[in-house]
Amino acid sequence: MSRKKDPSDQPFRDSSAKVENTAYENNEKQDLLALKSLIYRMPDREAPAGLTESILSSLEPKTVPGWVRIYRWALRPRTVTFQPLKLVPAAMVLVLGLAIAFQFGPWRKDPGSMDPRQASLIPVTFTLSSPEAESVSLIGSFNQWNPAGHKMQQLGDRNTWALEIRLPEGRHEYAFLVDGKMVVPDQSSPFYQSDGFGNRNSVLFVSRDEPTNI
Amino acid sequence: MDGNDEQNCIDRVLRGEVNAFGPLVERYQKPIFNLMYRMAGSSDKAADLTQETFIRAYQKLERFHPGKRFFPWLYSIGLNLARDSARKKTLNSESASTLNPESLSGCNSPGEQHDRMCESLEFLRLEKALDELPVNYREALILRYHDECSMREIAAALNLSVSAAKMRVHRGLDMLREQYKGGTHEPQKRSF
Repeated sequence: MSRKKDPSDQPFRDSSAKVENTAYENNEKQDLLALKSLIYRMPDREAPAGLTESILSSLEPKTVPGWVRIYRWALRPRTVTFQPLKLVPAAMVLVLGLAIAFQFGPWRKDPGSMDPRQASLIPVTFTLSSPEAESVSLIGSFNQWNPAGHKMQQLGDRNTWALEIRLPEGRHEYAFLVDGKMVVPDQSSPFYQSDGFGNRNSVLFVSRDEPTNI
Repeated sequence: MDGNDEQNCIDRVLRGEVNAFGPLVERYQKPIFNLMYRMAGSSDKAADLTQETFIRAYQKLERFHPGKRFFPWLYSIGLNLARDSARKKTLNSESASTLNPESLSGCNSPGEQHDRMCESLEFLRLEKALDELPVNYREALILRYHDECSMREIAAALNLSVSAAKMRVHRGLDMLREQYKGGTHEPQKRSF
């Protein structure tokens, strides 16, 4: 109990502290302050000599189960303190480390690299000359003949429609769907295959040996 | 010894080191002995109750909540023991005077001797007035203004809510003032 301050020097900060700030204004408050001071200074009686030894001699060593000690350890509050200024160098090191890791780390994405599955595909460019067309789609076995699958883009000359897609090696049948209703085979393709409905599909053989432009 | 030191002592006791309980006894034996003296009115009985309080605390030490202050918990055990003891036996009060002739020795002048004697008489009056208060009010005042406990600690020691502890301190001070003045306030019946 070494933190004592005489209340006559400084009022106690309890619920009545505000009242005590004006303690000198009337006798009642002076009385209370004097009483607090008197209680504070009231002498203690000394405990009998040898009490500690007497108590300790009557105690047996405790045997507490391990789980109780773990439980108490978990209950024990911890205080974490830090100074923001001291965190600045640590934060800078962290940011620098992250920047280096992202720049040179193994998870850095190489602009030239691609998904291995994508890498096994071969780029093929399809073109169609059709200046009157409003829209052209590429349909084929590679997109299940879906008219919404591959929309072609009109080039600057306004005559040519083009699209580059990646296809696996092998044989593919395809055609162009003009304005959403007219199926047009690729005139530049040397191979054709009948679709069984009276139309012809172009046939393309994709090989890794050389890029393919249709 | 701060809260961490106390906690370290308790941890060591729970690992089987009896002597680690020594610093806790050394630190708190005086306030507990004085509590018992106020309750029992006898030095011998107070010493017995103090010893019993520490032994009881030792036996229940694993129930002490880590992170709390040890003193209010110990005080609560002591107060309950003293109440139980008071229920079993009538009080055998010896002179509670703190007016000790030895306290006047070493005074350099008659004026200083007079001042000390006056102060001793003041303490005697104070003890008498405190003794007339109900236990919970008296102990709330002692804990607050003598042992400098927080309201939360007083609440823990007296098994009260914090607001009830504040009320005990506030009301106890008013009652003590009346008792001390020896005026209008009727002496309180001692209650436990």
